[in-house]
Amino acid sequence: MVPRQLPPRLPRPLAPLPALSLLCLLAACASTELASEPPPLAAMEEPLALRSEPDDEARRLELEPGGFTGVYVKDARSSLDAMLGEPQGVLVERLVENSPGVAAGLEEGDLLFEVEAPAPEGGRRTLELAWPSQWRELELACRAGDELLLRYDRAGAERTAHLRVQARLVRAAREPGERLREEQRTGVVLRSATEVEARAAGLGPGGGAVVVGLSLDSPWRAAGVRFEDLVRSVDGRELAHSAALVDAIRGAPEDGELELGIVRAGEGIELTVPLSRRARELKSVHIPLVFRYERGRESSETSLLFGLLGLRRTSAAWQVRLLWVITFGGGDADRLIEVEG
Amino acid sequence: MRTRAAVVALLALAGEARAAALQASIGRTALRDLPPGLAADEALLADLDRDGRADLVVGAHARGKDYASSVLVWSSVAEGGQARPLRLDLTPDVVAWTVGDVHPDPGAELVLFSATSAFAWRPTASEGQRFVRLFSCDFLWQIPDPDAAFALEQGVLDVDGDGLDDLLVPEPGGWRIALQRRAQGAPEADFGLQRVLRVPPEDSDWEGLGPETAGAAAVSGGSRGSTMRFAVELSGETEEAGAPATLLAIVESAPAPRLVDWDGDKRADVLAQSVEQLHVWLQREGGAFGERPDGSFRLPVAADRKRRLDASYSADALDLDGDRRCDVAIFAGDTRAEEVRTQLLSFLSRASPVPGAMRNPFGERGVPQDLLVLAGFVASADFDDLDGDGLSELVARTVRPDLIDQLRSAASETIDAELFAYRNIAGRMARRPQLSWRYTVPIKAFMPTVRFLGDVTGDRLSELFVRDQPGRVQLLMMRAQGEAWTLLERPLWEGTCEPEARVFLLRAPGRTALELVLLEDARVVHVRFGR
Repeated sequence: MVPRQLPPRLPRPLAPLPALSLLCLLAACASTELASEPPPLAAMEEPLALRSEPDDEARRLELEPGGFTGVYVKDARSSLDAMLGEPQGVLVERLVENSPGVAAGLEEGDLLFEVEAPAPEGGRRTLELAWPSQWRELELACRAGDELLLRYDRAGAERTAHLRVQARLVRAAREPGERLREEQRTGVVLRSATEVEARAAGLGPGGGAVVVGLSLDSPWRAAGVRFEDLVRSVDGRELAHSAALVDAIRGAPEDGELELGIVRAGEGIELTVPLSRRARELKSVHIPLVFRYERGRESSETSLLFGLLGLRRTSAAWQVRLLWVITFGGGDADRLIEVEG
Repeated sequence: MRTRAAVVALLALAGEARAAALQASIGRTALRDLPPGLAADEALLADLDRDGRADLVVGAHARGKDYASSVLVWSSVAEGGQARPLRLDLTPDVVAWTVGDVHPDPGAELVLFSATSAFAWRPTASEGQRFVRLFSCDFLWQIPDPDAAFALEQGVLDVDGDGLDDLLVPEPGGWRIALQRRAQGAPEADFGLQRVLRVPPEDSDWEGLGPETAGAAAVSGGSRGSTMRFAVELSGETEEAGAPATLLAIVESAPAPRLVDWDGDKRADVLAQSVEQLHVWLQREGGAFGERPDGSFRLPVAADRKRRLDASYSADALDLDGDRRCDVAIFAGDTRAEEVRTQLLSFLSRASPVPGAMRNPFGERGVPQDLLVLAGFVASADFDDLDGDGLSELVARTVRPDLIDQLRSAASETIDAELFAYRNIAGRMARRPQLSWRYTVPIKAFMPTVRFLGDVTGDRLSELFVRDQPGRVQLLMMRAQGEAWTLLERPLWEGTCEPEARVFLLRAPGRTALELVLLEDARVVHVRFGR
């Protein structure tokens, strides 16, 4: 019979080591919560004067209001299958009581597909209607007394109507603007252009985006974009909504550029602007019980050897901890010092 | 003893103080005004603009108009309550909508379902190229609801685990799974690879499934309703007064599918519960499924007409014991007991005794591995990992057995309800609840919401969202106290809402805790919890 060899017993002072190792392992395995979204940019510059929209309501009321037809139209396509094709005509959605539209004999549900109207340069022009925005542009271009010849479809029968445009007495309500923040690839804050700004830039109401914030390290700043620039087009496409600019930024290739059409102090300029991405940095190092380092946005913390030595710093104060309980602290005082002139 | 009491009191005080400090920063609220004339119906969270943050997507309808639904998108990059949403007015043939990344464009798209096809709406495309047909299908709901198109959130999911969103479309008697494939540089995604899964018919399918609402389109999902159905009935007058004759009745249905890993091969399999059986379709290489189920197992408690009257009945399929294989949990009223009580029957997965054969989750005799008895009716129950250990705890909301007497006597304007959380210990529920909390709910047309949101404070324990009064919403902090869990009385976060507001607790991409969306009369309130 072979005597069974027992494993050597650990010397007494080393007995707690396995438990300690296990503790270290557990501490190392304990996962800290990771941020699910990037932090706000630290160097974002947003001038206070640009926080609110310009007070241009008086100027808006002086703008040419265009004509009034009392006809509200919408997309004529009525099914998803039809949405795959080009629209043909616009559908009369609503008619204002006693309006020129009613006087012309139009009814809700009529399909307007062609209009003959006075041309801005004189004479008359024929316009095929497909998108509701065309009708709004037509109203803006018309004057009181202009006569429109409408061709429309009602229950499969083609008809014509004469509509005499009236002066618009009640102007459209002011649309509230919005601010959009793009901090992933450009570091820019945008505001939707007011109607005054948009129309001055040759856009319809709601179009265009005004730069009201720029990060100090934004690639657009280096490319020549300035505060209060009005972006009127991106990659040759007119900006119908400020969100379209954010979409274009996000959708550009990794190393792509954008062609911006900008209106600055009434002058049109073209700029090619690059895009960027978020920098990466080491934010924490943990070696259980031996070393610990964490860096936040406004503070950093270092701890050594079971916490024997600890250091915490912010931009205004510091604290050193020795042997767990002895602490020294310092930082900025509440007074200024005299300096040599 | 006195020292212990003092320590407990100090801990309680510390907890209260911590809760007070967190109150201000724990919930970030965004108010979104609805466009005039619209009323909100549904809400989803999805990252449409690919900025890593969830955008708010709301389904709405025009007040007083039929077939006039819209989808509104508030981008997370927009600041302030006055931000204008991106708006898509749906055509009258849209039955349902959801959100998914179904096109190579950056971010997600809106997915629209008509009776015959699935379409994508690309928010960033130019006006003439916004709509794309994805594929043709025979959608279960063949007639749109005139009041509103509904959100089919479960229609988009990654079935084959390749990181691309696939579509799961309910069809009469089954589903169509359209797998997304993207070729490098291709302008559009390809949904040509499709699997059709058919549920074997049962004689009892028609029991109690008569048409209830003409032309209605609704999804009844969740733990209790396991059937998606579409019903139409046309009736006319007969000579006998008050006895309308049914001219046409159509009922189409498909069980609500559940995607879980049945056999531990890290692929999602499809499960469905019919009246008498549990059907399992196993996923094979390349997202392949058979048309017929790979296994059908007789339920130990059939969901027949008798059980439909059992207020406590529900069934769920999930991994209870952490072995990555699916287990089955069935709640059923105990018909043999004299007092009202509910049983939870847990059938834990085991390896099949025959290599290569599918195991019967219920065994030969339908005997559960674990049985838990709860007093009273279980109004609703779900399984949530409340302590971050990877195992799902049981959360049951019960009402006292004398509920009906309370309602009849109308002695009080409120009824008492209780919430219990049972800890999951290796797949078996603890005999005693880890958390027990009583709340009162007013007796009127009001649906309370009491649900765990996930860990908001960073202590690994979930927090409880409570709306037990029509005009009040609260977030209560849960903490461990000895062996038990308790809820701090002082809310971590508290807000008011309109009494008629509808509550949605939604999971945002990349976030652990659920987010709160309140649909009010003229605005939408979005609250993100966490720091």
